Amino acid sequence: MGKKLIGSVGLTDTGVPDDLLTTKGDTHGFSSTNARIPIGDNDQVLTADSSEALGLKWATAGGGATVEIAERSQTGSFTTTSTSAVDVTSFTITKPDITDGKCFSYATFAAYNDDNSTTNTYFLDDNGSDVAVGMTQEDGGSGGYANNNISLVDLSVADGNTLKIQMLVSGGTGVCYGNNTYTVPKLVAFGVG
Amino acid sequence: MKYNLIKKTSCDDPVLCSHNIIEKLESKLNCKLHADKKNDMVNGSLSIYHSNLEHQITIDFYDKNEEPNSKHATIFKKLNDIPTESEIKKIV
Repeated sequence: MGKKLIGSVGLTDTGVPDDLLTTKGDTHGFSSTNARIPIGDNDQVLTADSSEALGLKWATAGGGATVEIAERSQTGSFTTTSTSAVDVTSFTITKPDITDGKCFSYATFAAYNDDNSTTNTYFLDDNGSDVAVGMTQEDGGSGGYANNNISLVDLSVADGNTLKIQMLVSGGTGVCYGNNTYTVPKLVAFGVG
Repeated sequence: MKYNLIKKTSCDDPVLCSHNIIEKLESKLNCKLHADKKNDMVNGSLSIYHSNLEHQITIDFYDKNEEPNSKHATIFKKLNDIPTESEIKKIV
């Protein structure tokens, strides 16, 4: 019976000196010959740089994006008979304040009006006066007024302004439901910079 | 004149809850706090946050007459005698 070959035998000589790496954290580099890349400072990262002799260097990591989220859910329902805009109570949050940042804001809720011949209008109000976005929920006609899911979406500056939902009705009683079965009433501002 | 009241109560139907309060206010104060159609005349409005166990009630009686404009399609008519907060609390 012949001999069996077991384990890592027959490897070729790589030519890497055994004493190339001398310090904890050192790593192996190469240009035209094998070379040592000494360990960098704490919190540095190894990054490619073609101007370096070995094409690599240790450098301070760049800062990642700043992300902040503000959100609030509504628990109770809100009703109004106002034909001019009023704040939907509890739907108020402060946008993230990020230098040169942008803010994606959205509101979701379920709404209804008890009078089929009327409309509800909603606003995503920015800073108490600047209406970011709005929409009007038309009357339900002969088929009755639908209990619609409403979404208001806006992209603005992440400036720390106050966001709130406002609504008005052309008649009847408008409702913004809390604890709805299908829609969790929520106002969210997602800031990135 | 805007009044903000807190009422310790709960409700299952916010529309019915609002209707009940409007009916009491409109009948006892001889005023109109809701529009039946787009160009209706109103003396004010009623808004309620129906929080569990506690309702935040805002009753707004308009301070001046206003024709329809870009902010509202209804006619605002000021009541000759705007009720006091204590009068409203007794009704609500």
